[in-house]
Amino acid sequence: MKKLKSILVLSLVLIFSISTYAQNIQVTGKVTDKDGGELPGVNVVIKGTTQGTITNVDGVYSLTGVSSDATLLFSFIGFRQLEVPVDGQTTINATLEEDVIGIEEVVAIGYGTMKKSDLTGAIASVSNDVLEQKPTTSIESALQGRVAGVQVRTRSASPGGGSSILIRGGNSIKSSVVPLYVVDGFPMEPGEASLISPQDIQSIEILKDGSSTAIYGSRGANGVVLITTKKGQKGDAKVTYSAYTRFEVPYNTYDLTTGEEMATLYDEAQVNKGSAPYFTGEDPKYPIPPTIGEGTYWFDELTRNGFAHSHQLSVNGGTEKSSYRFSANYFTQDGIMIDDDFTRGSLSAAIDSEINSWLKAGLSLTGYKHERNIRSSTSYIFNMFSFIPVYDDEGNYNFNYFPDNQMNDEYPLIYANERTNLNVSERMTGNFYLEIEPITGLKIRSTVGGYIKNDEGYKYVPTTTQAGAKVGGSASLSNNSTNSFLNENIVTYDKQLGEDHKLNLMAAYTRQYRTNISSGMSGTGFTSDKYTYNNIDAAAVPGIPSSNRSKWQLASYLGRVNYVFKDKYLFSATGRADGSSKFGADNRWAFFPSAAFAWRTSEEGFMKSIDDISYLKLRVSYGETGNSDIGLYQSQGLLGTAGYVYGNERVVGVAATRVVNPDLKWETTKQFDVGFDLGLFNNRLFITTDFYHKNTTDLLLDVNINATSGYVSALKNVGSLQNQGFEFSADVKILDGNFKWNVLGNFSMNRNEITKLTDGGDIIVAAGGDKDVQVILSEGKPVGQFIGLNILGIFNDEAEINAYTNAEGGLIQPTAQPGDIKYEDTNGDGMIGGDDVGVIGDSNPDFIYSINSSMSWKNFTLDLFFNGVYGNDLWNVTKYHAIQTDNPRRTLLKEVMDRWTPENTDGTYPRMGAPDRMWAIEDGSYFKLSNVKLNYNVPGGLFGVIKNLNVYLSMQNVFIITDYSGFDPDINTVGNSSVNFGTDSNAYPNPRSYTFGVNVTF
Amino acid sequence: MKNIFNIVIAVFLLLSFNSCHENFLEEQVFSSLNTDGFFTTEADLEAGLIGVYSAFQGNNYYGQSVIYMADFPTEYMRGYWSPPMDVYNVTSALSDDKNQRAVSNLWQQTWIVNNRSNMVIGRATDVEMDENAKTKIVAEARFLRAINRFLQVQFYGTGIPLIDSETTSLNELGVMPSNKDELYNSIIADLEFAEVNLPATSAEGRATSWSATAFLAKVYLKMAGYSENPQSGEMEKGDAANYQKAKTSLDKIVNQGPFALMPKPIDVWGGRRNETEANAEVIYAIKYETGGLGEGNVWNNRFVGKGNGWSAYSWKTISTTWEFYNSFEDGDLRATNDMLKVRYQDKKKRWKKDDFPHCWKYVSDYDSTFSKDWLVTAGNDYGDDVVLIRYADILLMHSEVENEINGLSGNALMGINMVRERAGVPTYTTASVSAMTEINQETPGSDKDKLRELIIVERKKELMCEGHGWFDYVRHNILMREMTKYYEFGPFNAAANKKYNLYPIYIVDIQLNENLSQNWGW
Repeated sequence: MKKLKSILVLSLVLIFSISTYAQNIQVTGKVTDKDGGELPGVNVVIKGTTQGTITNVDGVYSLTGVSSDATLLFSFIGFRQLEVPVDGQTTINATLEEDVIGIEEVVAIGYGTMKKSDLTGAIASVSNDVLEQKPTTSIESALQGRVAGVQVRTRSASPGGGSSILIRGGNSIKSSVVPLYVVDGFPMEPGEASLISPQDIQSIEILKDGSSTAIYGSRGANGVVLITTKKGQKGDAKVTYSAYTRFEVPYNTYDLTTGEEMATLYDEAQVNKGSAPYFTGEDPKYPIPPTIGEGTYWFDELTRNGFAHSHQLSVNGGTEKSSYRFSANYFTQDGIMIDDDFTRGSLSAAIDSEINSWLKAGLSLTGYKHERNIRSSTSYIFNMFSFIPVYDDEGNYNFNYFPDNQMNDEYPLIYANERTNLNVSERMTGNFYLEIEPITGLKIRSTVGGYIKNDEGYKYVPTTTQAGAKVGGSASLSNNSTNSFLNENIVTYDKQLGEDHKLNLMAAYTRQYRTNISSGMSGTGFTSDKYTYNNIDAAAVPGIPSSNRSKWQLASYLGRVNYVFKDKYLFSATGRADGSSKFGADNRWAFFPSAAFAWRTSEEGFMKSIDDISYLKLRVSYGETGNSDIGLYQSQGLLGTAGYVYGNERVVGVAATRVVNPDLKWETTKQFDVGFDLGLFNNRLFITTDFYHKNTTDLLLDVNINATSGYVSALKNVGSLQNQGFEFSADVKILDGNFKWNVLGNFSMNRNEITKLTDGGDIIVAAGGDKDVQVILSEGKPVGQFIGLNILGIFNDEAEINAYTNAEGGLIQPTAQPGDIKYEDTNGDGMIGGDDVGVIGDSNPDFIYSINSSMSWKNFTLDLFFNGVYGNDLWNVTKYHAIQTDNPRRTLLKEVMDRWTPENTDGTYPRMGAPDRMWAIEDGSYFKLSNVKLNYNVPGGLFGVIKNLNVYLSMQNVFIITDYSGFDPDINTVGNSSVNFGTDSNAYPNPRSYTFGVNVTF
Repeated sequence: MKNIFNIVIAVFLLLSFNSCHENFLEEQVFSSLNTDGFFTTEADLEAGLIGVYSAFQGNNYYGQSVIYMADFPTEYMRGYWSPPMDVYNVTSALSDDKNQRAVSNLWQQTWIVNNRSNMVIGRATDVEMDENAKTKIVAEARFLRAINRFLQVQFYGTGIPLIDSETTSLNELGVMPSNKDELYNSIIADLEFAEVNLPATSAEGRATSWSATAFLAKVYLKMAGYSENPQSGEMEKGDAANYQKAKTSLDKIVNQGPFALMPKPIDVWGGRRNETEANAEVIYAIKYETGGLGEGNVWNNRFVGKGNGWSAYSWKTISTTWEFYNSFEDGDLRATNDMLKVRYQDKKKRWKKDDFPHCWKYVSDYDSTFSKDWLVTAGNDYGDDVVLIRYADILLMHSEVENEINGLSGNALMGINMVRERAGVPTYTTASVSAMTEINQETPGSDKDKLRELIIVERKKELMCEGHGWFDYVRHNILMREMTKYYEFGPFNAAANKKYNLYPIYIVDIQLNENLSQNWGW
């Protein structure tokens, strides 16, 4: 710092001394960023000369000897270069815009940072501006569509609901396909990174190729999401307050039958199945259908307009030697389903300090809590019949509408209003580091980090519900606490050798462990519902308590070499050895190498002459990574508990559950990547393209073993699969003047193929949501193929049944009646059977894409964000249950009115009461205007105290173009396994929302 | 400065390289037990034994599969469910299904039992404890291993492996097949060891020396009768000398044992609103207990009958046939005293005739009004024990061996008559048997053949739904005859095929182990 000052003084002296000889004018001014922050160290040069200066700590510059018709060039790392004609002005204030491409920006890589221009791998960086464009509590949701090769699907649009993320296709069948999340160097489990408010995040880097991910070794195979939180910045304290409120309304609802229509359909099914109709009018409870009229639209009974608001206050600043940042966040949301809500709050602090010239230390702490009430379920919208009034004649809940309980489920309003289902999560992270620089360029950094998580579940089912009445109220409490410890010791060495050689070395040793303790208790039979879950010892019948404890440990050695020759040829190599307690005793250590080479072609002499090409870098990389999501204790020979009865007493013994498998190990992914970054026309068009090929071997599968051993199956490393794909992204500055228009688009496609399963045989997996939803795993095919009988149509009449014959002239469906479904005899055996089941849908998209348009004029900015998916199928289980023509159990869709009847023989649905119903696999392609944001930056702040003020309006889910009939095709209700992507089972209605927000800096 | 640098490097090196990795990386188990290093005390060994008993309870064993597989291939038990319970039936086309879903579950479970008992027997050697207590534990484990192996050879034939040691590795699992002599010798050796070393009485649910004696009789009876040769498919008659050995054991039970018939057939099943509990007639039963302990079974729901049309419980599940019901003599308590139930109460508590008669041996709630709450609450958690061997069975076996050794005689009629008397039907005399011409739609020639046929019929009526039928048919080599006879109304949906004298070996074991071959005809 002292040095910097002397340089400043010296240069000022120099400038003054020059000015005495010059005849030209003196120009002074202040350079700021767009938020009004002063920018020290900005280069201010007179265009076409070497004459110039740099701004001081207050962002102020002064330049003498400027000819009045000259042009000033302002340039600064990470900001776009600005040219201002002098035009005789003596005061020129400049506002620099951050460079969107940011070639010179520094990005986080594993265990270090690097200039973007020096990167050799495929790393995408998403800055805080982009993350904050969409007001969301979920990091994954904020990332949706922002990075090529990253597919984000909404798992639930409910308050606090999550999303699933997939980087460059699914690498596994049984194990997780979720990437590794690393928050400020601390690796976390999926979902845990959500403790960070998006407003506290500086940037997110997504590591995609093998050379970038191999440094994370046995956890890197699914890609890595590096999250860097905001830290203090030197300078005066900046206080920022950000807030928004959001209104949510349902959109894209299902069109359901009215009470009259549903009663008609219901009785039609009764009669067709040989049972008596209900709605005869004999009992006033079951009037004839026309008198029922509209009936109840349960969707309206169970939904409302949602409302959310968010507040963040942060203080950020620093002195010469230290910097700090404190922030507090609060967010609360009432979901659009009644009685669903979510509240979260977090506090964080980060302090960095330069203790002396060779020692730095810092500490960051974050505490977080959320509470989530989930009482409604979307399934209840459909589970009730539209002909059932909300309340009976006496104003009571109408759950005894059918005497013999044809509906097994709880009455929805009771479920929502009476039950308690509260989930609480408390988390805490802390990271402390010490960094020593004993000689210039050599840094030794040691960190100690801890993570504590406590998840609690509280449930009570009172006696006012059917289920609760049966047992006298039922309460349960569960607790799951985790703590994780990490120690990292990293040595880095930077050295410039002469003009041409730049060397960066890193070596590290790390250790991590994680323990988990869970417990649960329950009880039934309470004297009063007032206790709810707060006095479980008052239960007349205590349930069997449960508890479990587990732990894993990981120790790693890792290293990286980066070598840059003449700023043109970039080499890097990494290696990591992971020792994990999850691996079998004979495979305790795994090694993951990588290598990459990049060539900055545009730095070559022959390229410099091509003016249009401003930047070109060719990249090639190879790396090996692992997936150690084996599950705990899978390699151990274990005894579980087994109970029996001696006399009338239960006795508990042990029984072998798993045979020891010392060979068990990680899944390995070998990835080859080739790509280029191309900047054209002074980087007004910037393109990044990658091709990749990933081959995953040693896939963990449950393999049948000789049952004579006393064990039926064992987890073994047997399968393999591959993913290959193409990614393209382009950033275009279409207009660059007073009116600026920037468009960023990306496009990616992935092709997946299973190359080896256990013994070549197919594996059929229940995909979830309904027993009829099945997925097949088959060699030579991608993961995620839906299977079932192929429906050819509906038999309109006897003649069509009789005409559907096999080679011998026999009827293929001899028991069919008119109005039944006609199936394809795919194997040609003359009958319909299990062997005719084939692939009827594919959940893999052909490609995904997004477009972000950003326009600004004066102080207005308008962002439009479109994203889309093309060519995937979705299994709409919600619809499948609402077209249940075979045995109606809930309100059916209006379109089911077009069922086969003797009068309507060409209906699109089978006759009511027919043995089977139609599938509900639909094209999930969509194109969506996900987000619109109009921002106004109040120029120059307000009242002097407010340095910067901006206000914005935004809208989410503006419109969607799709053939999908559900709430939203951006859905994946089941989970994070690549096997069962693409099902929509009672998805939470994704609302359209309107947000008004404000950011104030003091 | 330089000093500090050196210290830092030293600390770093210390941290990195002197750490004891193997300790740090050792996987620590908290909520389970490691197979290695567990069986060290008497309590550990006892716990292992409980694990063996426990394996008999589940749905893949006496909790469901054994009884389905032994009784569905008879004319008296039918399964209704969707998908059909026929998957358990050896004659069902579905057991030809490549996955052999239901049938394979029992195969797997028998090997789980085998491995668990081998673990207890093998690990006992190194446990330091009282030798008498150890011998008792080993004897119980050997009893369980023997009755399990006896089931294996009856269901899957004598081309299966004989495994007498615990599995400790995933390698070299391709064991060699054994043979009939070896397998039966090992069963007898285990049972004889158990007979000598087990006490005469024990807690309900645990084996006694009488259990071992009773099973010895059963094993010898089977050895004297027919078994299918798994290679040729031929039915081979065993050595008749085994009848004498069976008789020795049976005489011992009849003459010295503490067992007696309960006054009425229903008393065996615990009477009204009671679980089957140990009584004077039960020699060995697998214990179950209700109450949310995880020790209940599904039997009540399986046999409960038509129900009331409640969506969840209108399974119609398991019934017998009207033809079988009509074959009972007038006044036979086994048909009329609620053992075969033909009525049910509807929602309004009116009694209705059911579609089929139902065997209510395992139905806890005899006067069930089908209270919905009761059924729903109880779920699949019923405490009725599953009786493996009881005194009526001993008496019928006694008649069988006497008849096979000495022919029709008062002595041979003793057992069957005691059972008939208890059922409230007239007893037989040598003259009355001799005078019969048609029994069970057959016309046996000799008196011996006549009594044999009468015993076959009596065993059906007495032991229906207890998992004996198909074993008896195979032992007498009459499966083809019965299948043909009852083809029209029985559960048989396949023409008689002698391959049905054995179930198929689990296809995965055939695929994984080239040493094993599939049973004939499968």
